Amino acid sequence: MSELEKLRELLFAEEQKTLESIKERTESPSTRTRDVAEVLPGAIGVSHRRDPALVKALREPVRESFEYAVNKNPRAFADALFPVIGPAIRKSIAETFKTLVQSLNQTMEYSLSPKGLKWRMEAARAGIPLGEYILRKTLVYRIEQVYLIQRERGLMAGHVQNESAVAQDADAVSAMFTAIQDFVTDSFSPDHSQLLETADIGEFTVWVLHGPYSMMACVIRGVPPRGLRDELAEILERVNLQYGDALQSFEGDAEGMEGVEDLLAECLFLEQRQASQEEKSKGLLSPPLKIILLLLAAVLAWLVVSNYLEAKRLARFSQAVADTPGLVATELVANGGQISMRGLADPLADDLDAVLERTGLGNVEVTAELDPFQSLEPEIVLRRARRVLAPPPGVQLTMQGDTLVATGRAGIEWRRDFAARAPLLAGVNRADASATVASDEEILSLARSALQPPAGTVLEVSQQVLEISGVAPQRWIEDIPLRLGQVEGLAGTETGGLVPAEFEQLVQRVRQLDGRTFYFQSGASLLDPRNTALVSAAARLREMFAMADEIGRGVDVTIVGYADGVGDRNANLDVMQRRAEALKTGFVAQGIPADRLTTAVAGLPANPVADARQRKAVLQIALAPST
Amino acid sequence: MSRISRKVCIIGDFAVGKTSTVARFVNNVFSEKYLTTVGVKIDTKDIPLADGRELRMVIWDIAGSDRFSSAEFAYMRGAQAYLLVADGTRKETLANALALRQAVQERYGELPHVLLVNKFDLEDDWEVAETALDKLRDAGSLVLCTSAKTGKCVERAFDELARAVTGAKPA
Repeated sequence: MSELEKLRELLFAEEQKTLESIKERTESPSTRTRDVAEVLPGAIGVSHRRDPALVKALREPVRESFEYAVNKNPRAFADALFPVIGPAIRKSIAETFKTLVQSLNQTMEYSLSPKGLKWRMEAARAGIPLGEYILRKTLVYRIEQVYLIQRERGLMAGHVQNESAVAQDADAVSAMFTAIQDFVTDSFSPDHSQLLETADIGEFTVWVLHGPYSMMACVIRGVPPRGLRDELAEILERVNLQYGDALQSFEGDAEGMEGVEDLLAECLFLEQRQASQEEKSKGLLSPPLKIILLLLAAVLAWLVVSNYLEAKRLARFSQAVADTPGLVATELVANGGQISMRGLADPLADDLDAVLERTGLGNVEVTAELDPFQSLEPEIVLRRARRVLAPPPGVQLTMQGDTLVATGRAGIEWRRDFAARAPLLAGVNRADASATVASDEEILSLARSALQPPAGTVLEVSQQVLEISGVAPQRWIEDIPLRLGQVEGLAGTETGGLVPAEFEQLVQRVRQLDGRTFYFQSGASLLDPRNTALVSAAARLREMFAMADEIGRGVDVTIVGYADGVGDRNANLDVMQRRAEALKTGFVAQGIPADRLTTAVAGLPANPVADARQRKAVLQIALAPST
Repeated sequence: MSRISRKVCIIGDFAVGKTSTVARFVNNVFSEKYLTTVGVKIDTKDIPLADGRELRMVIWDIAGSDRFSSAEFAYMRGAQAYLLVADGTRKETLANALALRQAVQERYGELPHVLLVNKFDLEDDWEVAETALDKLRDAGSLVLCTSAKTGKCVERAFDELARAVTGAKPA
């Protein structure tokens, strides 16, 4: 060993050992593993705290290892998860069901109710989802307890609670709440200035309102509306106004705090008032019951109305049947839209469809069992008469009482038929066709056959008036009214143009005799000594008088004497008179009654000339005016 | 009958028996887990007073730790009296209790209190010298040796506190 080596050994023996040891450790894998194992947890911690590189680096290997492990031994993982997975699933299912039931309840209650519809409209108007709107409207809450807590000491300065609330040690709760308030503030408010204002615990919400020296904790069941907080704050303000000083120096003594609980109770009343309003608005009946009652009422109303309508329909139909001649209802029953009828019907009565149409009832079905009968109602009797008697056009039939009356223009045949058959009809006691009018032709024909008019007469009928003209024997003429008595339909007879044949003969005889002249010799002796002309004339005069007498007419016969006027006027007048008298005497001698002959003298001629033809007497005959 | 309430705290080191000392004598309203979560647990105790009033003591059982954090300290705010608890079998807890008392005094002023030296039933392990306690008593402190197990002196401690916070004798 050289000096240098010795020196080195002396100087660095320890270091040498250390180096040897280090070398040995670095070269031995087992030693290295131990070393790394020693520092690994610390190193991982340091690295993890410093940056996320380690996490990133480990992510994949860890995932793969985990997968491998799960595949290798799944049971171990199942066992590990078992305690947590069961409750988790149960909780999830319970939550789901709770939500489902709530949602169903709400849907049932609000979807179809009037309130629901109203909300639907209001939500649409407000432009918010219906769900949110329903949530706002259906918040049911109830203030269960109110604690007034002195802030500094956490001592309860007042406490009220609803009857149903579970009684707790209010003092302890107040203190604990204060502790928690402090705990929360200290823990979560960096500058310790923020205060706990709301806490939700299951179905409860705790609202904390803070005053200068106190806080008011309200335990509310359900979800309170936001506006409630303002009302609570207002109550707390009044508490502070009234009890501020007392609260500031509150040490747990009731003195100075008298009456505070009455004030706090307003919070409960506030809730009660709203609850009672809710109760009032809700009413005694639940919505489904209301709907059922409404439906029942509707059904009842429908029954009443339909019964009423049915009765009205039946009454209307019954009236229509009663108004229909030849129809008699013995039983009428309405059944829904149907009417069933039992009764009697004349074959000539209107059928039921026509009756139904008159009622204007529309589609009502009528079933009827009708027995036939003969109705004596005038309308039906008339129908029967029309059917049986078949009146010609222009004839009207009417019933006047039990009399069938025919009017209008009717043929004689039909009238005979009418007269014969009408009284046989049911319901007709008498038949009267006197008011019917026959046709002019028929009347003429009847009149002709009744009168058998002689030649020389003319018969005409106009407006049922018979006009007879021409010449006819007096006796026939006199018989006319008698003969016409059998002619029906005759309105009157005009015989002004009818001349009796006897009168006509008389007139002719008068014409034959009138102006017949008998000549005289000078003086007053007739020229014809045998008087043949006189005799002939006398005979004709006698006949004439007889004829006149027969027909009751007077005939004035005047014998006028003439003279030629030559000579003495008086002598002329005298000879005129003697000539008239002479002729009269001659007639009287022939059997003519003297009183039927008058005599007269003609006037003297203006220029008398001796003329033998003026020695005459002339017959002047005129028919006396008829009386 | 009028009812009054007072805030009373129980403070002391970790595991000195604060909670178990009072547990038998109060209305346990809340679970002990509040101590570990919120750091405080509230109990109440009703004490009828000789003058006819009814005192409800609201007892803040503040979680113990070696040092009061500001949060836990805050629970002391507004306290009208307190129970200071130490473990007689661990000498250092008494020192810590006194330090705590000092801190409370500094922060909230002089408050009525009773010092409970607990676990008096474990006499064999008792570390606190009686002389030290006498010294404290001489200095005006009310010191009681208590046992959560037997309930020794606990009732009295409350009575003392009641008297202190109401000025009236318990009935």
